[in-house]
Amino acid sequence: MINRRSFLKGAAGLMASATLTPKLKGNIGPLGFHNAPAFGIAPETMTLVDGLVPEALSGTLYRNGPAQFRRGEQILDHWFDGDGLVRSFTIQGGQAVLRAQFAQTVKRARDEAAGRFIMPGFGTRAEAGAPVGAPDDANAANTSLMLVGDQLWALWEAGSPYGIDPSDLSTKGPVTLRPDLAQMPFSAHPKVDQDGTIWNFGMAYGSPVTFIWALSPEGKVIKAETVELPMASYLHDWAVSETKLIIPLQPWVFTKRHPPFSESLEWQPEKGLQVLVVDKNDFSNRKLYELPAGAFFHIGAAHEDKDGTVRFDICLADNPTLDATTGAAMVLGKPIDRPEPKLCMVALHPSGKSSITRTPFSAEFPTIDPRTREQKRETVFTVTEGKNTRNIGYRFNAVMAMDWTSQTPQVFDFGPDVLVEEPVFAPDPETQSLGWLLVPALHLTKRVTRLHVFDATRVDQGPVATWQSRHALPLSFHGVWASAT
Amino acid sequence: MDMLKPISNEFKGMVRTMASLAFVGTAACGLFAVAPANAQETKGSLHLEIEVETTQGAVMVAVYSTAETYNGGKPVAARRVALTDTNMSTVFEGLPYGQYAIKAFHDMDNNGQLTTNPFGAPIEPYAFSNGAKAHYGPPKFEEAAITISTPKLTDKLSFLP
Repeated sequence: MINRRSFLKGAAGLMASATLTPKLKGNIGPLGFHNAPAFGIAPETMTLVDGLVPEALSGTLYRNGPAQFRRGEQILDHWFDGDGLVRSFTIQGGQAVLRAQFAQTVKRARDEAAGRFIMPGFGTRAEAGAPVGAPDDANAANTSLMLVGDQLWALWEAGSPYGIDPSDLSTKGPVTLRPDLAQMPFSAHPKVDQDGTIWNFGMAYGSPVTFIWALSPEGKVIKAETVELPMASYLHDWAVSETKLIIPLQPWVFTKRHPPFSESLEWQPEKGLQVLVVDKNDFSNRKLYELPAGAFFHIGAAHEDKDGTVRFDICLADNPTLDATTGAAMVLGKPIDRPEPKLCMVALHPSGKSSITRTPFSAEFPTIDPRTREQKRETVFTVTEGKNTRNIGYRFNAVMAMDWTSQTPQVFDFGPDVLVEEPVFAPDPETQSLGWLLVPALHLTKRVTRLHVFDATRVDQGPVATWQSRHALPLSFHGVWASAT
Repeated sequence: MDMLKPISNEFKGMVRTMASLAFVGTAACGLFAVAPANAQETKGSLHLEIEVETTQGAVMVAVYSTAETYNGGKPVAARRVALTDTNMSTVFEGLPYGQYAIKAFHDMDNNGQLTTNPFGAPIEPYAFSNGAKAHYGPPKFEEAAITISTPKLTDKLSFLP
């Protein structure tokens, strides 16, 4: 743990030179990486501060992200380790109601009872003697969410999903998908086939294998199998096409088997980026592609051409963008130079050849219209860096819609006072191809959270509607749209 | 080492030492007679209170008298306690005065072993003497140690979450 007093002494110079870094008021911390209120946010009707809300926009946007970074004098050592705060924005009749509740995990309960951080995380060490017996003891349930039938699951990546009540966001507890598979890892990035089958993987800590899950739309296990990998990479996201599971293995590999995760990983670029393609119906039918080294967290979506070529878009950087040092710097609001992920398209040909189309555009948190997932990728939506960004770790202040056909983006730049989060696509139910982007944003000078609605076909024209909360929520990672219709 | 089973460091220790509790069959694994070295050596009985969440299966208990055996050797006494109630007790008689540490697990599926998931994480409840808790593996002998220095000592094994 970093002791706040020693940090303040040492970083006085840094803070003086930073253009942002809001003053650490009491126990708050830099905006975006501050603690949410322990009891969450009671239902708040947000204020419409701009524009007109599309009539057909009706449903709930759920989002998840870490929201407990400080306890007493302690500060967490990595962005990924904060307890998950599940947020919902319920949109109906032009109104948006915000709710938020912490996922009441075993980890959170133990830290609360101790009055300090004792449990481990991606970048945070457990306190000596802390009761860590199994993966779900450290489960922060803080990364993403998925809807399974009428259930809502908060996802982490190294343990079980956590059941959350979709209306009041209360916690139901860890979800065991089958008794013999308790505590198995379930990643934050499941992919849903057109027929509703849910595919997911579970990362193994330190071994060159991964666990593949296939669930029915109601969450019943259809397949649950360990699959061998060519190397023990840090695996956060993947892609699923019509007939294939696509597992990109970056050369950020587990070399030391001791916690925390982030310090067990080593960047070994000589290994290149290896992409394993596995047949959904026969896991022994595999192909391995070798690409130049690159690091990634997120992938858009994959599709198959008629000739069997698999293509997927990915935000690729030269080096890992959120290692131990960077993850810690984010939480402190320190200026830090990070490798910038850029939007790329990978092509894997049946011949064994592969290629990468690289764009010059900074991009993260890629999302798509879910109705188009298995189709040839025409559009992907991301956050990006605008013209003027503050000198802090999180620099995303613009929304981008990339048209892959012309390889030209539409961008809306909010300027240096705003941080934007992943744009989630809400289909217009009355059409096949139109819809909106729901983009939460943190206004750094007004110190409030806003929710912006964009016409997904005219991102460059800016939001068509904006609601504002009284509260400022910490930044969140991923979300999901539950349409009311 | 079986590379297909990523038993991470976090759990390898736990599972290996729990595996040393490989009980075969039933209560026939009772108390191993301990031959007293000295006729004047005093012995006591260890009363264990057991608390479980369900009465499925049985609780497997092993008593160790040294850190060495605790870390991967033979217990001085071992027992399978069939569950008829969520609160049970069992007594180990005739233990020479000294230090002991207990490892136990709730064998819910009755397979005689601490069941693990495909990645090697234990998925049955376990408990240790002296209220000691797992920390990336079983607690150390010293943390779980209890001392028998009177005719009767009571300790609790709680398998509640």
